Amino acid sequence: MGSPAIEIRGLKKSFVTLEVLRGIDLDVEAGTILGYIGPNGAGKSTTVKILTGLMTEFEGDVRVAGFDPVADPVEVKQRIGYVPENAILYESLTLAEHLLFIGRLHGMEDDLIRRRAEVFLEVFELSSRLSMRIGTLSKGMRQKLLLTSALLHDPRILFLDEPLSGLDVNASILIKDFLRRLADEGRTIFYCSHVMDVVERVCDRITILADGVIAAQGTFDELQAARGGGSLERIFAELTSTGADDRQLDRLIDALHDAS
Amino acid sequence: MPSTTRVKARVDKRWRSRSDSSLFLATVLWVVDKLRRPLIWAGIDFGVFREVLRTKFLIELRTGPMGISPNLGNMDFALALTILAFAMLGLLAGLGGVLLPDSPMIWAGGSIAVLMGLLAAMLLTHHVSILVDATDIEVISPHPVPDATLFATRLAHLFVYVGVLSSVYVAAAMLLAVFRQPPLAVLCVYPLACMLAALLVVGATALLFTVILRVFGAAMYQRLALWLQIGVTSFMLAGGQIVPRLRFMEGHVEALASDPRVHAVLPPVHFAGLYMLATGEFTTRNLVYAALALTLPFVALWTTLRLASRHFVAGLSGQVELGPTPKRGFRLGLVSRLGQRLTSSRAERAGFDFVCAMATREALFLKMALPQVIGFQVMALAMAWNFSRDDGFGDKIAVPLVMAFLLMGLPQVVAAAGGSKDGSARWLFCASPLETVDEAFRGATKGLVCLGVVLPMIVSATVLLLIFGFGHALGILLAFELTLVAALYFTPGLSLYLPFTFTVGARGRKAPDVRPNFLIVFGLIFAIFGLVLVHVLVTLHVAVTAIAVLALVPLVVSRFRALAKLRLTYELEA
Repeated sequence: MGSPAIEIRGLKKSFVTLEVLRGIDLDVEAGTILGYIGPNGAGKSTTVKILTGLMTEFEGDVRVAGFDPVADPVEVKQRIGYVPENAILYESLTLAEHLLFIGRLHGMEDDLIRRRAEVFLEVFELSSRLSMRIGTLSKGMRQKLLLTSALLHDPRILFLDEPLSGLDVNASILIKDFLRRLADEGRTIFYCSHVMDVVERVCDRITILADGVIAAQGTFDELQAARGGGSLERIFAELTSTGADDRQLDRLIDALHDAS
Repeated sequence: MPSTTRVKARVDKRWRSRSDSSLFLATVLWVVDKLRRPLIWAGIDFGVFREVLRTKFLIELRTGPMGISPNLGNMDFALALTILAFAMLGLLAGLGGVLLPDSPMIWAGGSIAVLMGLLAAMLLTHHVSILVDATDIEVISPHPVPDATLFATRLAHLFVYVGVLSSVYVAAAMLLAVFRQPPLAVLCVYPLACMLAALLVVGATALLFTVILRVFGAAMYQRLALWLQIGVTSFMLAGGQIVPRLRFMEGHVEALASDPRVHAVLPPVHFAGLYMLATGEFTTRNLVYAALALTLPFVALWTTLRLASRHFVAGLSGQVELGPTPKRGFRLGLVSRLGQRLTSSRAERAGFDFVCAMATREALFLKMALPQVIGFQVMALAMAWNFSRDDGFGDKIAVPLVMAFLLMGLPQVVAAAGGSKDGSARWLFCASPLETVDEAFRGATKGLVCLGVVLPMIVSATVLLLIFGFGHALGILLAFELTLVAALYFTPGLSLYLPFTFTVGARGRKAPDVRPNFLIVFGLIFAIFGLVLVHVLVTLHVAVTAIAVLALVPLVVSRFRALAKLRLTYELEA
């Protein structure tokens, strides 16, 4: 067995006084879809930014495709595709201009960019919008464009942060099946999401992050066995809940009734 | 248990912003509160007006002055420079008051006309963006903000800048004029007349924009507002060259200039009439002028508010653009084909094409750079047309001057290209597998030079050929080369950004010092004179011109190759 596609050892990250990651150790084998989940502010996006070389100040040792994202960011970026959550794009570029721009930054020939992009856009039903500006796209269409951009250069490792956000049911099914096929071909997928049933069904392994540390990890079956069965949502709530009980709900309703 | 008062005090402090204690903001809000009744009378929702204005200034206190610049840091320097310029011009106006002690009407009218002209130029080339600024419209439009109220906040916002600049001008003028002009008139009425004049400039400028809103509706508003800005800027820069030369104007200009009926409709004369009342000249004419001076600014403001009371929010929600996006798909446009020749790697091409696409659509760039670039171009061509009608040496000067004058647009193009409302999309560069972003940066810089200087030069060269004939082709080619060398020489000296990667309103990021971009303008002025001189000398004999054209080719190539050494001077962070 070769070295893992992603290796994380003792990863720590703080923002001023806030300690977001407090020591993460994780291996992701090639050909695996890893579900990386946790409550808001648990450090998921921070981990992804570190792994993709977008954040360079942290403690610990990280390897992506065998390379250090801080020492060899170019080597890492050549091998990865990244779909950020709430990605900001240049709204005034057309789809064609955006894809040529991204492809060229990856050193691709224009012909190859066009050929690949045309297939993706056709399957994603975006062909007719090639000359339209990104600003005119719906949320789901933007997501499809982001996925196309991330896959255009045929990366070995994909970092996806809420990749199905805004997609319709048909597109979601298509993407989930597509991710499975990509993993079967040996590509590694680091999948962050809050949608538990998708993570439960799509991911080979699941890592649950809470308070900057790994609270649990394994296959879904292993997690069930360890936590006494139930859905991933229930397991997640048990591990990470801060107690959204009736008293908290009453406080919210009371606040709305307070007209004084 | 803490007392109720203590708890309340603690909560208040928690909810207060640090900028709330700003003297500037407190002063603005104090004035606004004093104007509560007239604003309500004018149909403004006062509570909403005050809050939107307060928030706008809160943001500007953190990000830098809008409308002055694309908020790229160091821009307080630009504001300081503008204030200094107004102070200097105010001193000159005051000197006029010292030199014309027996002609108070001419002094007051002249100095107020200068102020109005300066303000109009400032508004139309820069600050008018505040009126049609759409950066916050997505935040505001879902909320119950009446159209006229939003427009009123924009007017008030604009007037704060205009008021500051006018105050500086007036104070400087008063400082000298008070020694030779009637002191009471200078100290009490002159500032009032100047402030009313400033108000009229704001009202009249705004009126232009609200008239097109009403005539053409909301759908095309942003596009038409941009073209209006370009058109008016071009007219201001070139009108003086063209209008007196038009055939139907021949002989009329001087007659109009000395006709008292024409004077009666010129606003600076009205404000001078108001000033004359304070000097003790209670003539009927001055009384009428004073009445006009006191009413016209408010009539203009009231009219523009009424016109903006419908469709304004919808109008701002439209796209700022020159025209429709070409339905080109993956096919390359002409400029992109040019980029293929001028770039040496795919990353450079990515930067070049990225800039060319963004520059035709990025609202901030279009509003900040395009009116100036087109304005300078129209002015240069108007100069050429003017020279062509003169016998003798005109063409010798016109050709190089027209071409070299286009250099003046370069610093503004570079400065305006730094920011974007989507500046955070720089993550696309950071996430790409480039050793450094320098390659993309070099391509982008080449794109900027092409758009800001080379394309206008090609247009100018074509028009010059049409005006002066093909007999001047060699001279035009020489002027083209000389200007190109100068542009390529000055470009690395400018503070350069990776274009469109700074978010509008983001302060505190590591950014290059943009002050050289302002200071280099002085170098450019010298360069223009130098180029004209060289051109005139070299074109004295056709053989020398031909040799010079050939000799300049390697220089153009070497200056262009020197761009390969360009490096981004700051670290690009996602």
